[in-house]
Amino acid sequence: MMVPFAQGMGMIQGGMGYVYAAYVITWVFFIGYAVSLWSRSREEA
Amino acid sequence: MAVPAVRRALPFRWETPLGVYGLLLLLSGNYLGLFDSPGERMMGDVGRILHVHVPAAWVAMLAFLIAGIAAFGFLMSGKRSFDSLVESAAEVGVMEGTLLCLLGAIFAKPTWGVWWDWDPRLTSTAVMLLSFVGVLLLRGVVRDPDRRATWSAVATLLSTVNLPITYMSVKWWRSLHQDMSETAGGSTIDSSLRWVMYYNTWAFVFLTVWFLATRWRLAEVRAEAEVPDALPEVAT
Repeated sequence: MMVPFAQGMGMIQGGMGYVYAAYVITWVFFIGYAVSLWSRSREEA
Repeated sequence: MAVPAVRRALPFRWETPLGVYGLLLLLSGNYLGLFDSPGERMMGDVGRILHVHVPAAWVAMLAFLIAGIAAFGFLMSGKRSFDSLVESAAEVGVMEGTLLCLLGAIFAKPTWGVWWDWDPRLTSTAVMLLSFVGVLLLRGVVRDPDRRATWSAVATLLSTVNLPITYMSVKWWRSLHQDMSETAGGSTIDSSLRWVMYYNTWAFVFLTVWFLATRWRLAEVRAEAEVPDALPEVAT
């Protein structure tokens, strides 16, 4: 018999690979967009 | 709707220090999120993704809201600077909205077991993002500056309707996505996690202001280049 309160009582183990991926993607987006703006600004100058 | 040339000639770009400050905040905030903040009670280390996922959601919504306000401003005043702000905010919002969806997918896989689900919050976010992609595409195909500004302002206002729908989606429909954590009534996030999330949020906000201002200047330069030269005076 399933005990309702047992559901979700555990903690997700591991997962730092996902965490690092999220932070790296954040930097890739921000640095990439900043470089894109810098590049376009130079073209317009 | 001529563009004053003084804008591009401003000697001091006030947004640059904000951008540098934002980068420093992001660097330190990410360190705090990765190594200093405790893991979430149920999600463990995966909860650290919240420190970038939630700020990405907030700044994307902020950029789209600014685009909507600028579109309304353009339709009311006809000022070209509002049109430049629509272009700037829509592009920055699409960049941050795309980041938001990617971070959400990375968060969903270890917590929900899937990269994506057609849940009301995720679906409404995707619709909101795609509608602003449509605004950018529309701006790319219309060559006449006046028509482009008017049509994209209307399209932006229509897209902005998605903001409250996306925000309220977790209340209005049964959603796999968690309910709002930060409301006027208080927070459901423990203070040991909350301050790190807000620290990173400020980093995202400063960077967003930097992006918006820099992209706005670029749009202004292009708008100025589109203004036809004055006709020569007719000799009498």
